[in-house]
Amino acid sequence: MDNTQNTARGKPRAPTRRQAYEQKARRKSLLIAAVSSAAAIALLVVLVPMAPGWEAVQRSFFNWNVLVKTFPKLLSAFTLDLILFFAAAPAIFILALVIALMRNVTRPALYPLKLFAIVYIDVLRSIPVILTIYLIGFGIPGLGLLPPWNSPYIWGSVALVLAYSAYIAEVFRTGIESIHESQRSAARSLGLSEASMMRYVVLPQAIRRVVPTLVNFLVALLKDVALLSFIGPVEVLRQAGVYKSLFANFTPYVGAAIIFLVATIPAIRFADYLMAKQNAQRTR
Amino acid sequence: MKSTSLKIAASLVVASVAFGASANECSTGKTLADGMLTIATGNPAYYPWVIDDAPESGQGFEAAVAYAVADKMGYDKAHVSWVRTSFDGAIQPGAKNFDFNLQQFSILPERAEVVDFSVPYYTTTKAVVVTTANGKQDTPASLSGVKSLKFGAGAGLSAATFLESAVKPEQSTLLYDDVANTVAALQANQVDAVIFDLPTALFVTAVQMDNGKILGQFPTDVNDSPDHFGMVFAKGNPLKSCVDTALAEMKSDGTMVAIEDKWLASGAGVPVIDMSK
Amino acid sequence: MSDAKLSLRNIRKSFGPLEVCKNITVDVHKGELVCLIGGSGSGKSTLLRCINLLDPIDDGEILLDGVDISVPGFDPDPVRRKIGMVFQSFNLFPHMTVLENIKLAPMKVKRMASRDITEQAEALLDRFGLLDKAHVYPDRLSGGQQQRAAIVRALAMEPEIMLLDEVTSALDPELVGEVLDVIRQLKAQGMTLLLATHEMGFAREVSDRVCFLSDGELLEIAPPEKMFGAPEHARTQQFLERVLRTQNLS
Repeated sequence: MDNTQNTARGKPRAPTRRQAYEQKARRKSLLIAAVSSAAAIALLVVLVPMAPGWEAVQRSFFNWNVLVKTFPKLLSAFTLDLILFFAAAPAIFILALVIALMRNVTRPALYPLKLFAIVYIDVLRSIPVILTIYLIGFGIPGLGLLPPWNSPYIWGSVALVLAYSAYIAEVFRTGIESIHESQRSAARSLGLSEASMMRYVVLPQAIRRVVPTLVNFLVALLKDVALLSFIGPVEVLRQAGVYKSLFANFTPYVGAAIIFLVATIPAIRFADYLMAKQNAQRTR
Repeated sequence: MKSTSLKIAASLVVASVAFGASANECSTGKTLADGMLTIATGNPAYYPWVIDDAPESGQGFEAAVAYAVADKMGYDKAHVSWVRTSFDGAIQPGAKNFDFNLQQFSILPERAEVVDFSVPYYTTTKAVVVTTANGKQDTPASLSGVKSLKFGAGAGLSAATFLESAVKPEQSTLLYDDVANTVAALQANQVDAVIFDLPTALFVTAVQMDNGKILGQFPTDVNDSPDHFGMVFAKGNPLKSCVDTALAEMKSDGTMVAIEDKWLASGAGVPVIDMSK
Repeated sequence: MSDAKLSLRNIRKSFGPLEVCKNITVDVHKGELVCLIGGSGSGKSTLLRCINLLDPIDDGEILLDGVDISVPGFDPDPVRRKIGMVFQSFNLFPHMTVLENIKLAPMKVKRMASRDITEQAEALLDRFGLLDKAHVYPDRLSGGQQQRAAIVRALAMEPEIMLLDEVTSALDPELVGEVLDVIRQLKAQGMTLLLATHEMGFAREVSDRVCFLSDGELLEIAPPEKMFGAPEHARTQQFLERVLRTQNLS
């Protein structure tokens, strides 16, 4: 406000007492944060290498030669993670939405749908994702499906889709229920049918509201794609395991961790940003 | 100090032949627990290397080799204790909970930078297993024949690296945590063929699968073939030389051949894959 | 009586043990503006929601053009096309611009072409001074602008009667006037209006008739001069004295 007034009058004015005070306080807190962070990092860098086993750990986990030799191949293995992720994510989104709508059904004739949704969500949320992957990834192809329909890529992705859609259906349901009754009243008073109300009024708002949670789940999904390595696909975690076994060295795992970090941290920051933005809106 | 102990050893030479005390002396003070030899194997340990996952029984090739080595070093059955480790447990930095570890570790130069290996206690080729259920049993046992197969293999068994360097299959290989999952993938038709060391392949086709067949074994003159299995020691463990001596003795006095004959099926008659076609 | 646009006959409505409408009977004629006044919890809002079929009544009849629309199982959607409703808290859809808010129901309910309804909506926005806000999201509007937009949204369905539920209660005092102007304009155009309000001065000015509700009972129906000049009922008198004293102060 003050700034616009200043420019409106055409000449900059000296900062007010309050502005000067706040600027000084801001500088001081920045300085404190910088100094304490630097001190913490310095302690880590100095103290950890003083541990007696540090050299052995460094050789096994932070071996530059092994990292250089393995990293390009790890990176190309990570493209398989990305492909599986981008194949599964849209299917998860759609299935979760369908399950959430089924879960919200109120008409008695459609109760079987609701019951199915409840059981679906309960069962798939209770089973560890890795077990779902194992049971579906090995079990269903074992029924006698012929190639290419018995591929572990397909059934592994199906398992991920089932597991994650159960979680995300609940996220959607929470979102749908968080939309205030007054929005439904307004839609109904305009003569919109239940379906139109859901589609044009409730869902768009509900989905917007749960986007930060969705981003967090997507980050978890990207990491859980690595679980598919359990049933065969050689994605980055398995590739790292192969190198670990070849070099008898854990550095390839550190390489894989770096790849995941670089891939997920922007998404996590983005979710935080969205969350902060929503909170700001809600309190406005 | 050293000469005194030598004198004592010499004076006990008669008794020592009976108890293997000469080797025992080699290992004195070098084992994890005084007077005990602590040996590690996999969890679980698989046939035919260890029978019924019970190495204490001495049944199975690696269990028998371990007890024979212990015997040569002067430890009777009562002075051998077993621990279980994963591959990762065997190679992680820090103190080890075993004197040596045997679970079909291939001796590779890269690994030797981190751990020490004994001299090989067994040498084997890798073999390709197919099933008659998927129509791949008539694939020609040649390089071009196996190249066209979709392979499955154990992730920790150096097979992945071998396939990549020696076979270069046309389709991407699927990897599994253990033998059981690898066989399951073959039986679910998710892969056309799997690759194991020959003894495991013989066991899998004879016992675990109804319709399994060994398509062939790789010859001994290609990359990383044959496989030499060695016992793993912590880097710089002085016990290694004692074990190497014991293994050398076992090879020269026929103990090793006898154990092999007893526990490992004969690979004779398994066709060799023609790498020139 | 039979020429009434809207007829409420012996309406009863309870929420659990709480009776919020006790035997309410009133007619609204075409082109008439009827105000519902009374304290909070007197049943004004519930009555309006029942007429819009948002809440079912327990007993009685609601006749629209002589047809009983309160029969259980009656399809509410065609009825709501004829009855527009505006809420105290505006209830605009926050994820849509003003124009999109207005177009939604005509497009999805009346299946009107987007271009036709855009023209009509822009004409309405222009009439109520909101044309420059057509492509703005509700959270960028003042309360008064939002409420006017909500009224336009209801009008776009071309209702035959409008229900306004305390449409100025959530507004800052300086914004009340612009919304009341809109209502005056609607009345001038001959719209049939039933509104619940706390604005006594306004009710006195524009009403054809005023209904006083107290604890779910319709105590008194009278023309505004009589209601505000010489109310019959003692409770009406007390209520008006209390309200007028505070409203005059502010």
